[in-house]
Amino acid sequence: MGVWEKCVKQLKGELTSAEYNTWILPLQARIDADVLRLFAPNRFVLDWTRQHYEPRLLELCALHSEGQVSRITFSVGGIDQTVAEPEPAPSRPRASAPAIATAMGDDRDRQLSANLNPDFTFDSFVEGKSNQLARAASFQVGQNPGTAYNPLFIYGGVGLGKTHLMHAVGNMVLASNPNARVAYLHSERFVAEMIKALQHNRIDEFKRTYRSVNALLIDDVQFFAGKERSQEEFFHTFNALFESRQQIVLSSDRFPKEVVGLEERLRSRFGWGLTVSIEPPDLETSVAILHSKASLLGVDLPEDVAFFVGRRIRSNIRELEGALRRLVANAQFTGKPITLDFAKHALRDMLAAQDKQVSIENIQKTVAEYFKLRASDMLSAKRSRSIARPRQIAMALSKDLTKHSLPEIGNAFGGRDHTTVLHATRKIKSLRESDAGVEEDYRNLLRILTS
Amino acid sequence: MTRPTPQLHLAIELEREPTLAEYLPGPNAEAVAAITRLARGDGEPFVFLCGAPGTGKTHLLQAACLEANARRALAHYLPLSTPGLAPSLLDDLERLDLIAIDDIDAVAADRDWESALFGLFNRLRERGRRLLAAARQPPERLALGLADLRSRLQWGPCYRLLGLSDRDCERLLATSATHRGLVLGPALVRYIMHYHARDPGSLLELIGRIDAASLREQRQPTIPMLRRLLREHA
Repeated sequence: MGVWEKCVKQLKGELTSAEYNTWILPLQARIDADVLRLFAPNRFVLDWTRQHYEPRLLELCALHSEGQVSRITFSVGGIDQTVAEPEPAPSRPRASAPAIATAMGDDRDRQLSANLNPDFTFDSFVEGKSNQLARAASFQVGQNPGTAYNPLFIYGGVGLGKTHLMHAVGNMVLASNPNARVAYLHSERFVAEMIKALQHNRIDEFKRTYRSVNALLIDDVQFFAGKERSQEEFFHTFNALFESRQQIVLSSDRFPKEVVGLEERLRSRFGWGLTVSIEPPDLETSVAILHSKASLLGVDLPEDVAFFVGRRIRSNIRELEGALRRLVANAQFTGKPITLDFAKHALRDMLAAQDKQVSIENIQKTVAEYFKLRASDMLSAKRSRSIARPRQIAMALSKDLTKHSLPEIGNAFGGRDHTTVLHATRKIKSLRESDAGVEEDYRNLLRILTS
Repeated sequence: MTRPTPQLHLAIELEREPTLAEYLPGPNAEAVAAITRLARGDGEPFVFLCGAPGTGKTHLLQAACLEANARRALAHYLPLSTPGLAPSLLDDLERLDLIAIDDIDAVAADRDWESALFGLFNRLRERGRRLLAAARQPPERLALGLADLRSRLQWGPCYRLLGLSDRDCERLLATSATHRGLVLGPALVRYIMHYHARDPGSLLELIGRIDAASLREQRQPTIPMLRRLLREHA
């Protein structure tokens, strides 16, 4: 076991499991002579680890290396990156390369380096009334980049397929011209890369990179809102590409004119080409999407199940996909075929949202209403049967439906002793077996409280 | 008369790192299977867990990180309810293989955090990394301001962790005690089930305290010892 492994083992015993997993687990380490070099995934983790654990780490290293290791350096990055001394070092390679496809490598390499998901193509896009215009426009742009519609602006709610269409355009451009330089990125990444370029004095390279692409696909431009320096840079990138007739495709959750926090000159440019919307899918499209996603997962989805899921989940395609994935996982786990009943059962959580947290107060209120009593009767000292029995039922329900201890339950019922609660739960248990009326009341209340 | 100083409890207790095997699945077997596969680099790359406090979300997230780490993957557990954190904690985490984000509800409605989570989600997905996320509520019930983040959190399967039945809780107490070399007979188990909160988190925490007291006093737990421990913590 190496020095670092020994340190880690000891730290594991000294720190709480949360501290260890949060601040030590993501570190990578290398020992060079008398130096322990630690690599943290980002600046925040680096600062936190240094501030809280450096002295102890140094002690442990000295101990386990028998005095050989006397220094620790911290860097941001991974051990496999050739990061030298503590950052910022001017010669340091950029953490993330720009998302540009180049002419090197095969198709897949090009797609990956352009940040394109090869699975998002026009073939795998399920067309319906709600998205056919957006699809047709994107297809045109993919066939004739820079000439059909520029920019193409796709807007619509979350999870409706805007990103899929943008990737499909990028993939089509690359397929017809493997030498094309294509870049897909989220607006936030554009901002982050620009900030990094500024920090490392590489802004000219950044400008050159993005102003020389053949197709620039920027997702969710509403995230440019309020970021003036990024808007400025993007404005010039936009102009450079537009003037040289290179394709720009943008997406947003709303119509260009309605994007708040964007400069007017950008908003107006966004509307220069063609603006198309994507609406939430109608039922038939949802069903078709479910079938298509199911076949990608290698699953045969019965028609009635697809209609059931499609009817119940209407908000967006991601949620539809989440439900499908849950269904498939459940079927694989239990080894059962996917039938309508199976789907209803498996998705019960998602559809009925049975997460109602039952509290003692809620139980008291519900039981009081059920027996037409006042809620205060649950807490009172009255011992007449008409009040005491419902109170016992409420106590038994509290024991069954909450995780409170008996003393806590007794306390919530007007400061009663825990033995009273114990007596109540035992009494109700035996009454449920001998008295059909009590059993019925109990079951009714259980249903009301958990449905 | 001076009382003898209680013997200090040295840090010699067995390492109590959370493991997937140690989690008593009860009604949550499917969720545990999905998380185990994810931690091993297989199955769904993104899983969302929700459930009431004490159902074991934190345990599973940490156990998944350790499982991944044992397979030489770089993992990072992020409990967002920790005081003093900032959204830049999420920068560049797509360098790692598995990210486990706990307590997402703690930052819901905070614009900067939501935006940082959204960005991280996109980068993890682009790079094909794995993500486990947990909150008390499922994504559709979280008080998120950013619809884009909500829909992304809905993308993978969401599992609701359910509490254990009383019988499973008793089994949990017994196994966990045995792992620590404690003798916890049926009378003691019954006592705990009556007088203590019955969620796995609280029960395991109590077992830890019983273990410490037992080591300190060098005797097996008894009802009076339990009574005292519960009173001390009331």
